[in-house]
Amino acid sequence: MKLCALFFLALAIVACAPPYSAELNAAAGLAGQMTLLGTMGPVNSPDGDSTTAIKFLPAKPTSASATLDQLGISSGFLVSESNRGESLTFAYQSGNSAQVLDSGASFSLAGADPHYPLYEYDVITTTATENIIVFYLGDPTSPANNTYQCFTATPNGPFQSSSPPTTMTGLYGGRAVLAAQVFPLSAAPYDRFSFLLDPIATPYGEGAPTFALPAFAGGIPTTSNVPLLGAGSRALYYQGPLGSPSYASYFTAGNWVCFQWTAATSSTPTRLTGVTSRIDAVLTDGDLISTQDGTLTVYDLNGTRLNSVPLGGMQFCYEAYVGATPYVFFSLSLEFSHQSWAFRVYAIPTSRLRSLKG
Amino acid sequence: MDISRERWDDIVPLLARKYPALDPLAYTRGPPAAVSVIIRAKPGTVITGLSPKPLAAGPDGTASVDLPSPAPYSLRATLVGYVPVQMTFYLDGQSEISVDQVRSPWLYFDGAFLDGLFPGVSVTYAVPTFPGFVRVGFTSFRAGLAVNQDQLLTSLPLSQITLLFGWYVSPQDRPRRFYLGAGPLLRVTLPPGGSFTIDHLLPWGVQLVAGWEFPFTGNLHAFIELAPTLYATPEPKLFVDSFGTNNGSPNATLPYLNFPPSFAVNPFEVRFGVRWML
Repeated sequence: MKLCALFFLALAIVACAPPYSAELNAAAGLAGQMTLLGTMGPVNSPDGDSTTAIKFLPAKPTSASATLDQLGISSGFLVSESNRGESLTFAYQSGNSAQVLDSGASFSLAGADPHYPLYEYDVITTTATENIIVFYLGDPTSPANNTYQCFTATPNGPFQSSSPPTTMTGLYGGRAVLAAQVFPLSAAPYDRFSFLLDPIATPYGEGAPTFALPAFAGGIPTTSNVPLLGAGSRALYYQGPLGSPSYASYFTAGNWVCFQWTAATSSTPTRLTGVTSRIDAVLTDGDLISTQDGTLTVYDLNGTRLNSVPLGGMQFCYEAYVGATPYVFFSLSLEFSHQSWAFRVYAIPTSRLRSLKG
Repeated sequence: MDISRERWDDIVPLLARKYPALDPLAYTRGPPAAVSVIIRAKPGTVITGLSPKPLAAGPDGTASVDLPSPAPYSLRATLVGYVPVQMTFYLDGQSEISVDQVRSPWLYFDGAFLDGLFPGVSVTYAVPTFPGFVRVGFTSFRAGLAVNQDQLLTSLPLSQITLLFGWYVSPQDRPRRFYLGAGPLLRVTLPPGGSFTIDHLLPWGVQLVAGWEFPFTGNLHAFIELAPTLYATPEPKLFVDSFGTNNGSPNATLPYLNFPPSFAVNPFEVRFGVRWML
């Protein structure tokens, strides 16, 4: 009998609490208004127990997916952060378990501006492989050092850089690139790219390259006369669905500001006074969204605030077309014991962001 | 050597003088004779062991039976609402035997630890008419020790409410009692930055409980329970994989079960503690 008691006591001590996910509960209200596309994982933390943040960016839908039901979440990119910097890995489902491939690249966060991401990770639509492009846009003293690097992945491997980090000064006759935007196009095999150009010696400019990953073909500036007061060498830049209007969101004098202009008004951009937070994307319906401080704020194209809901830990991934309908994709990182993570991916039609309830 | 002669021959006469011999009537009673005995117990008490048919104490709290005396006897007295009495006595001419009956405790308070030493309390109502019970329990995962977690001190904004319908397999007068039970559980949470809600990963479950209860001190009993639990979950695979032990790798050696797309089983839930019986 004593042995029996000891057995149960030992069992009690080694037993652990049932799994719990604070993230899932915090995001439950919002998740209930979206479509759950699938769960990836669990996977080992790429940085062990030193991971301080992690984000899952699912592979973008291809033209083969006409509806959400056809869109399975079976792979994607993991951007994780630790005190050593950021790392990029590729996760894919293999049978009953998730596998992770390491790109071997590490991204130092030394000198990062606390208001801006030092690197922008944009999953891009392609036809064959799953690609992610990493923009390094963070050298305020020498924006000419800003680079891009494309990584290509296929399930079962390999996951590798298809090009070394390449400076973007070659795209526009030696002008440095300060910001980049990747925008989804309907019924197109590729995304649209557009860039904000260095103001040195001239006002800021805009440009779009010819898409030819892993290298961009050179383009020409589309405008070269945009004065952005106080933007310095760092800003976030977007174009509307039809290439106009354009927006620059940047942190100056302790505040986030947003300016809007068109080709006709590029020399006198309009400050959108209703926008007081960082803009993270311009959507296909022309709305602007911010996810600053974990709150999703939706503005119309003129900066009028339309909706604001707490994200509860959900992270904005991108907007993409599924069939003819644009959807906004979010991922939710769920942390479990033993340094393991799982990721849920949600989608919501872009048109319904305005009516999301917190 | 003649030991008896060496040891006792000198002593026996001394003893015989000191302690005079008894009259034979003092220790010879002849064959046992039947005497009428009244058993005093609570009205309605059923008494077995003294006669081929059970006796029942009448409204006056007595039952009468003829028993050979002198002789040893044992009886068992049972009455709904009272702890059964197992009693042994030597009948030696007495005309009455009283059965000391104690009212059954009907309210239990538990203080216990669940799984990785997460504290909880529960209240049990023991049904007087049969060995069943109903228990309502509350466990907080806000503070506990979880030896096999990443951190020894584990705090989750999670609580668990249980309802258990049980049955004691062992009689109440046994010092060690086994019981079985089953019932639902509900998990509620107050996540950081969120509002009070039902847990979305494991919102509810059904427990099967096998328990062992034994005396501790006074009205306190100790107990230990194995409570394998079936959970409803939208992520049964994650449930199982999260019990990994190798830096997140799923541990296929442990028999956690998942039944996609909606259920998973944790067979290792253990609860132990003390039970105060009123």
